[in-house]
Amino acid sequence: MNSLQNRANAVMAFSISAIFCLLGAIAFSALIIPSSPTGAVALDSIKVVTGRYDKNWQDFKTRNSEFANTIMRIDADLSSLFHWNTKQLFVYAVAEYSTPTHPKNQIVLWDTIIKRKSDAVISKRGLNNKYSLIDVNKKWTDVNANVSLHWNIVPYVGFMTYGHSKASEGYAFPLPSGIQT
Amino acid sequence: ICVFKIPGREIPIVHRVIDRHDSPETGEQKLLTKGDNNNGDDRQIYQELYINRQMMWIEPKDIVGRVQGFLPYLGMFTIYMTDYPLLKYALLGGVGLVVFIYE
Repeated sequence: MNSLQNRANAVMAFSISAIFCLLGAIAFSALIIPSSPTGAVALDSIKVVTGRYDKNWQDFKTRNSEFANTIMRIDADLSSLFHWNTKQLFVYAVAEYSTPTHPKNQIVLWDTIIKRKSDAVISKRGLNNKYSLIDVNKKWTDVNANVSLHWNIVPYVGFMTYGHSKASEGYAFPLPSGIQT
Repeated sequence: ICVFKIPGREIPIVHRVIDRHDSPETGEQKLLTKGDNNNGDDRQIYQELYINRQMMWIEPKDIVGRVQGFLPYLGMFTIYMTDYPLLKYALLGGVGLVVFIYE
């Protein structure tokens, strides 16, 4: 007993258990921190254009796919989500709608990564959607979509958590010729 | 954030889902993914192999798992073992030596 090997073994085992207890405490304590994030997305304008190409869109087969170009405004205060276990926040705006062929659709319009609490208050106007807004059937006839802000807290250690704001009221998509349905 | 495998590629990809179109009656679900640091979506990755050149979406059957959390640096042990085989042999040799001496 009390040889160097026994002592080294005991120290290693204890430190590894202590480290894992600390990581567990951080991971589980982060789940019960109260937070009060607020956020809202609103669409100021929607225009539908037909074409073959759009930002980053890679399905070139259809000549007249209908792409919706939106101008958004986003207001959010997510600073209460930053605690000791927050590495970064991934915030994204989602448009949700249903069509006769697919009752549930969700498309991400815009996203950003927030790394500091001081950057967590978002107030943006005149934002274009970062990614193509196009339906599976490539047509926007008779579609009503609501938009909401979602966030994902990326932790240092522990569980990925998600949250979202309330959905906005529905927006009807105009026809490509500009007539509002 | 899900882990998925493209048919024909052995290494799974861990990316975030950005589009989702569900049809509960036919039971189909189409998903589009994108890496957070990439500008465009993953269609270029889906279509890298000639057999997948028309692949536009992934489906739940391609998904192997889902990201639940983070345990940083836990995999470094395996990475060091693979990158420096000398370390692996030294460790195995040391374990063998210890077994010999203390038994």
